Amino acid sequence: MKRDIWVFLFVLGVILFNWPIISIFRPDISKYLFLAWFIFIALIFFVAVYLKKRDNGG
Amino acid sequence: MFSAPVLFSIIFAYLILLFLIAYYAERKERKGSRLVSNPYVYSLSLAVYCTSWTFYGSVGKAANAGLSFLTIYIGPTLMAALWWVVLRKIVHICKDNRITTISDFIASRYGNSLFLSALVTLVAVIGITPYLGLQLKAIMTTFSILAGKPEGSHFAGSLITLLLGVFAIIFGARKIDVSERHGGLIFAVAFESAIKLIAFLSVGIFVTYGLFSGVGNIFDKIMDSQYSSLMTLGPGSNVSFMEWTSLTFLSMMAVMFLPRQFQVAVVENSSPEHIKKAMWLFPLYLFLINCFVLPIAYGGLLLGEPRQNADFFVLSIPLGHGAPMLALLAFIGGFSAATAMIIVESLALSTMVMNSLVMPAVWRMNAMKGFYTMILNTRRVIIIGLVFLGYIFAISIGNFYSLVDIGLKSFEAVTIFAPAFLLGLYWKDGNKKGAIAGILAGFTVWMYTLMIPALMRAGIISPEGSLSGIFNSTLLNPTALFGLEGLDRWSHSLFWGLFLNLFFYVTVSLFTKQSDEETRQTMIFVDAYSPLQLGLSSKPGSVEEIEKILADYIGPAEAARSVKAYFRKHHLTMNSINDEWLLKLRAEAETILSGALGPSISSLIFQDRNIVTHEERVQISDSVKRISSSLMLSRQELAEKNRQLALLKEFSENIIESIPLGVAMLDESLRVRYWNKAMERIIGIEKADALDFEADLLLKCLGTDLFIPDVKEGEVICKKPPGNEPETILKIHLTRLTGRQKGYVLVMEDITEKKKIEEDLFRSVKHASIGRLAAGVSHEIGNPLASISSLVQELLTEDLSQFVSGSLNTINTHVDRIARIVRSLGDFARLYPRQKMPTSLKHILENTINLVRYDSDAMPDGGRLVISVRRNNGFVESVFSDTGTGIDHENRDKIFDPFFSTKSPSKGTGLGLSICYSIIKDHGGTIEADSVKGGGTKFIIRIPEKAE
Repeated sequence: MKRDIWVFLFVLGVILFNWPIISIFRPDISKYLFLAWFIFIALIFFVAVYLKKRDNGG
Repeated sequence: MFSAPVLFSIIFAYLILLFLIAYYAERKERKGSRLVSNPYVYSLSLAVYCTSWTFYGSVGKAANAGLSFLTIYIGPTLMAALWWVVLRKIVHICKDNRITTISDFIASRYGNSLFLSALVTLVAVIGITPYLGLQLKAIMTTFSILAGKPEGSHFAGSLITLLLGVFAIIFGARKIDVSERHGGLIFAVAFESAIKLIAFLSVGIFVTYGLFSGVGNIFDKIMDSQYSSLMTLGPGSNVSFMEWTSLTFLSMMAVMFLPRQFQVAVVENSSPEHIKKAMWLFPLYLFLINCFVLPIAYGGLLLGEPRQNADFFVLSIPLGHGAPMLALLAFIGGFSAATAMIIVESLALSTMVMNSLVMPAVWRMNAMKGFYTMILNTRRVIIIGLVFLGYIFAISIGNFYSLVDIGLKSFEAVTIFAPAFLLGLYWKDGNKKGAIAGILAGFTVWMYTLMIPALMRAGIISPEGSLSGIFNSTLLNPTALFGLEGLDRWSHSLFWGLFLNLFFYVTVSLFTKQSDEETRQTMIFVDAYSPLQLGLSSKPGSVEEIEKILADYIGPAEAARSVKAYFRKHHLTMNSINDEWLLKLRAEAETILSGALGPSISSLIFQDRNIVTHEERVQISDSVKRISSSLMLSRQELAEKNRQLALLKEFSENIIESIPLGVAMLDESLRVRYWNKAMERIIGIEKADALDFEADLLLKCLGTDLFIPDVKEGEVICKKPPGNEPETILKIHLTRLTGRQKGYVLVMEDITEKKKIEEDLFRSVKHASIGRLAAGVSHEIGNPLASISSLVQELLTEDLSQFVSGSLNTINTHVDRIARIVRSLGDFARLYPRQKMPTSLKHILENTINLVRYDSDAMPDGGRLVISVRRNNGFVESVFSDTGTGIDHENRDKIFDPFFSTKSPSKGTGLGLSICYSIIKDHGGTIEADSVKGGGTKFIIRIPEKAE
């Protein structure tokens, strides 16, 4: 389960940061990249916290 | 501007500060402090990834190629999402096997292959040395810029290189370290990561808010300038989507396989739990350090700084705009980035060279006096040699390339390890021959497609002459190999390199066999979380022998200390140690040597000492192979059986849950272990509330003796407490389990409704047959009776004697009585069959009330009759409730039977209630009596509002 969540997140990231998704935001793509990057980091953080809570039975 | 001596002093002072920080951290760590061993220092140390390339090169790349620099940081961010799966496993394997370098890792996975270890080391040294040169180039260039000299002198360059080499030795090779971790060094690297971040952010804020009025302002201006194409990607920009994807992939691999990243992420990891925080802290660091790359790059271009010098905008902008101290801070930041990389990378590479190239050649010379000092000094020479090799690269061909170009070549180089490394972690069939073939293929492509064009550009290889035919041919053109055109050079090299690497790795692995040693190592790596317990040799050697082996390689003092630590840890003495503990000591010694010399040599040393004989090793390998095969088979079978079992369980549960019968399973102590949905409905207790409770408490209404006999079948009345639902009739079947699982299975059916229907049916049949009898009797008796009555009436009109007249009157009275009974019978009989007519509810009620005569028999002492009528779910519900004598319990079921009466024969025929019953039933209604002797009677009549 844990492994699946991380693999899913990784695949999601690969899709978010590659063609064709990034081509949607042309020409001003920099805002998208920085925003998506930050959101992706936040997602990793929240998943890590969620899994830790679940492991602790919280 | 700053003078060169001042800058030298600053550099020297900074390096001394770093050393002091490392020394302090190491002392603290030895005392058990968690100053180094925490996720924050671990995450910051991972930022050794951000070298001078990041510090200076990202701005250069952004100013020349727009957004593509982001791939170098987005790639590691994506990879970080997988760290809990991949990195944790790598760390686990390395800690278990004391693996300290990437070459040892790959060699160890493929049967402790020395050849593979040497090959990986060579590829890493050739691939990474330019990267080391890149750092030196950056330091020398920035030194020149700050010193105000257009060209740095060779003397200054050599001096800086030597200084960094010496510090790398101080940090990493003061002694042969048997503990693979370097706490002090890691703390210093983390400190440098903080410095470079602060320095870069300071320059970013200065440019963005000091020279411009914010990020939006810079972006707006760049969009209106000739550089607007830098703001986008794909067609019309400097970077294609293909190049973007290739660079992202290269960065993902680099963050895993660059030797320095392997050193900090794997070797220096003190707890797998730290990975969890680093998974988001490290990407956050990358995000922060990149926030101002675009503003600085675009700001520099807008300020008229020359584009070809964009690599050093971080220095030139503050210098050119009256902020020399900020430029100095930026220089220190860049120096931090470069030194951290040089120290960690040279340390990691030197360990690889020692373990893979030097030790295999010299390890048999351990009897030589001063052997330990020799290998220590060799390591120091290697570090200096590597740093100077980088320096030579920097001054020879480094000038022809930007920082980014050099860095990406190294990224491509380490990507060569990816198939053998990653597939080796999960694919058991990958073998040594496949790994060697794959790495050789990848390395050949890397050399041919990236390094040869680079050397040609630097003029080291001439494109003319004998080789021109090959380089200009359609098939073997290094920039369009096999005629593949249209790709940028990174994508081109990556595609062919990765494709051929994978192709050879997989194909050769599939068509060749693993050796026994490889099979053993494969299991250790692929099934890392389920360690194999090997049967060990019965000849463990002696403590002295083991200590002697250790002393040869790590020095007598360190060897004695390690053996003493082992004895202390396990509370052993020389007298108390037995063979089992000796075997464990030998395993510990092997891992200690593995940390210092690499697992391949460590394994060879113990093999050479014959502590495990060759025959024993063969036996162990054979056993491992057999166990491995049978385990693999068993695992597959188990997985299949498990799947079938799960399906069967689901199937059975679905059936049990969907049947209308209540099913409960009880253990021997009558605690509920299973409780299906029907059980919830019948008993009114939820599954969650029933599980683990004692069944005799839950099923109290069934009586306490239910569970006494082993098997029980029958009907029971479930009497519920007053105020609860009416009693229910249950059919139960209790079976005792006699298999391995003891307990009971209780099957239960609610037959209340069924019983009621049966009773109704029985009563209806009885009424029908009695009705037919009554009709016959009424007809046969009624006719003669009418004649008798009319004759008696006629005779009474005659003048008769008093006796005769009296007798006739008596006859007439009895005839009347018989006639009344016959009429009642006729009334009852006429109900079958009859015609239904629409009629008012009032009429029905009046008739019913007439039939149910509440006279002195119901309430002999008087009382109250309450009649209530209400609508209830499409029915009209009439309740007749009296305070009379009530009905005996034994008579309650008979009151609707024809001719049943508790009154004397002269007072009634006993047909009233049965007629009522028949009328109501005939109209689709119901009549119920609820009575307690002495407590009054209640009749509840329900008639549908509309006829069916």
